Amino acid sequence: MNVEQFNQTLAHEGLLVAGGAPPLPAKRIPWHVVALAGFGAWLAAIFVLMALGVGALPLLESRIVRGAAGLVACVVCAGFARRRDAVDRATEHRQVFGIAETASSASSGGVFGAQFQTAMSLTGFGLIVSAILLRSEWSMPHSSSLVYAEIMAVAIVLWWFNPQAAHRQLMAWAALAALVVLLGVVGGLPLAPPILAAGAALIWLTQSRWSAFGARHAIDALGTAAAGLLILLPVGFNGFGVVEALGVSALERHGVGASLAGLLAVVPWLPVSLIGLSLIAASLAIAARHQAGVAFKAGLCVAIVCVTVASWRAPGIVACLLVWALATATGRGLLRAGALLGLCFHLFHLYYDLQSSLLAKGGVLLASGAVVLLIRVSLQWAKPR
Amino acid sequence: MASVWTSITFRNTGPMCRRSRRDLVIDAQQRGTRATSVRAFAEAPDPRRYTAWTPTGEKRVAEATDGTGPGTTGAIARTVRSDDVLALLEHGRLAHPQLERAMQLAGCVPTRAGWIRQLDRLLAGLAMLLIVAGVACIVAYNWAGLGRWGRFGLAQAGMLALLVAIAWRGLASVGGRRLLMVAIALLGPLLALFGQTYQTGAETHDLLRVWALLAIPWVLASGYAPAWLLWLVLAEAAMLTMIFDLDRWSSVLFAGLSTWATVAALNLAALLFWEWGARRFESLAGRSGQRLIATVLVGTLTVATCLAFFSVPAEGIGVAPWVWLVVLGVGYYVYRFHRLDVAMLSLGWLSMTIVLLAGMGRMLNSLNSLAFLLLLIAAALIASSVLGRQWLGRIASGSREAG
Repeated sequence: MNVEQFNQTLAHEGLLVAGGAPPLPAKRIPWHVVALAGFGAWLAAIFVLMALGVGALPLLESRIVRGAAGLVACVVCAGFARRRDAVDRATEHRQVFGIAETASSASSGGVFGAQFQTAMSLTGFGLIVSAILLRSEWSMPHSSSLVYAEIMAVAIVLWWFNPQAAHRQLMAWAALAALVVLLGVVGGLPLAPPILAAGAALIWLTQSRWSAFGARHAIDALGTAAAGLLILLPVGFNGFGVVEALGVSALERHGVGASLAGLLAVVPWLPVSLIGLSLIAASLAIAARHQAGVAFKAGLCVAIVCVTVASWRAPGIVACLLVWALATATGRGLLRAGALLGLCFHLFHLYYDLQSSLLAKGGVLLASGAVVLLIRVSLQWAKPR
Repeated sequence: MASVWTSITFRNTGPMCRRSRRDLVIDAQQRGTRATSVRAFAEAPDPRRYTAWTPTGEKRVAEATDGTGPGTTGAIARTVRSDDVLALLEHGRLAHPQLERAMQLAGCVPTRAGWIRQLDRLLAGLAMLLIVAGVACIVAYNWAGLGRWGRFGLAQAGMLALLVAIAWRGLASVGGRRLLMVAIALLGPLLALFGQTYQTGAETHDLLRVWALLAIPWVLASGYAPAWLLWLVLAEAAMLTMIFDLDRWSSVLFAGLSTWATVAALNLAALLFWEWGARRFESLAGRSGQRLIATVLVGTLTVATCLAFFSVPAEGIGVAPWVWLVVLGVGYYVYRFHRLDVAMLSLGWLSMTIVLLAGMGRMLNSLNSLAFLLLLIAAALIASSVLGRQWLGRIASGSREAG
């Protein structure tokens, strides 16, 4: 449905609070023109930074100078971005329905400037992170959890204060990635997916509340990052892949870390169960919105428990199902496509890892297909009428 | 409940903007309007009143909103997204309890019945995927013991089953056409199996070329735009792999043409054919084919021109900048004044920027200061991006107003 028809439908259904028809949407610049300008901006930023880097390389060897330069870059870019955001918001108030054009109004005004600032701010963030890491002399096994906590704090501050859409998204990813590594450092990496699952479910199912508070863009970025990491993270889940690659897996396993590691050794199915619980909670909340009956809800819970038990060695499957449900419930097509791709990937990863012959794998795959068909039939039977 | 429309929206555009319906159809396709709506508009007896289909397949008659008469239309309003609905909530135009209903009306989130349908599709898709993978595993387990006859028999039995299904569905149905596309896609693996079994020594571009050639009758039979696009991807892949397989840029092929020139000439011919065919055949309608061909054509010429700047020894490379210049000039005239296509103009601008940077890199190579050189390149890039965005944005806005 296009905007014009939607305006008419809302008015016809009497759903609009204030009187008067909403104005027509703003014109849109074609995506390839915006992409061209954005690509040019990033390339130009890289050249400018390389030029500055070549000139100022000796100065940047100092940790203090590096951190200060990064801070200045971030503050200046955030200032420009906030000014641009204020102008965009004023335009939105005049043209209530055009908010989805924010990024592109970004745009129509100067996608080049916005992307250039983003590139510069990201460089600033990189300089601050390198200054933090330099304190531990780039030697990861000697890093402490404090390093990752500091990186996470910097990313959170930038996520909140720089409203540029792409920058905000990247900072949300950086903050959550730092949180995951931090959990790895203290021995609680397997708990990262359940935490992300709970966070993503909470954010996406309450998005209307955030909109009412005017924090939609910031929280959306965080929700997307949580859901995205949730799809990607369980890949190296059992092997502590990400954190071991950084060389910090054996660190700080004392106190809370040791207890966590001990607990997870005893109950390895705890993380997948927690993700399954998030999926059940999200599904029940969605079902409640549609006034589904008790039989349907019970059938849904049983199906989710079956899938969770069957995929306890591959938590990514349940995680992707959760993201799929949340994305469908909130109309996020890209996230839904990501969840479906992730689901295929995790399914094949699970069967690929089976220590058995191809014939046995084929048999298991066929049996799994039959079970899924059975679930489908039972859902058909239990569907609300 | 109000119907969810997939339709073309008309704007009052004035008598200066009268255009033929065929141009409007192409314009609508360029703007990403769904094929069913475009076809509906193309076939409607009165452009102000035409048939459209809802996503659920219901046939409706739509009224053009504020059209001023036959052939005076064009602008397409954008589709509603969930962000738009949330924006209404954020600005107090929508009450909180009405959000879900508004989202459903916009088609952003499914209704109760829609959820069941989505879940059903997901489970059906998953089951199909698992069963196909299971069968593939079992076949792979027994592959070594199958022998040549067994392998070819199995592969061709699969193909035959597909053809029977196509014959059963019929090529008039979308399902039949899609199955034919699957058959076209499976031709490649069948040829690869032949090459592997008999060790033909064929290169990748040979495989792709034969694949594309064998697919031609099927593509013609399908009369289906996505099938043509698939064929085009195969043909372009064959041409591009030919460049890299045949001693990169320096080989001379037939008629004394070097590899890059052959690829450029074939693509130019393909572009002319596609532009001609798009106005005559439904299966070639749309702009994706032309854009894909133009990307390969301009890309090849851009790389050849950059190589010429850096004096890379390659057959006939000295002519490349002139060919590039002519192609870009003619392209500008055609896609700016004859048939407006902002995507093509963007492609040309991108090519010009790349050649400009390569030229600067060549000329300023002798500079001692690397930092200064990088800053100069950055300045040129900034200027090019800003000017390009302004120019293309102006054309795009102008075309909307005119449309």
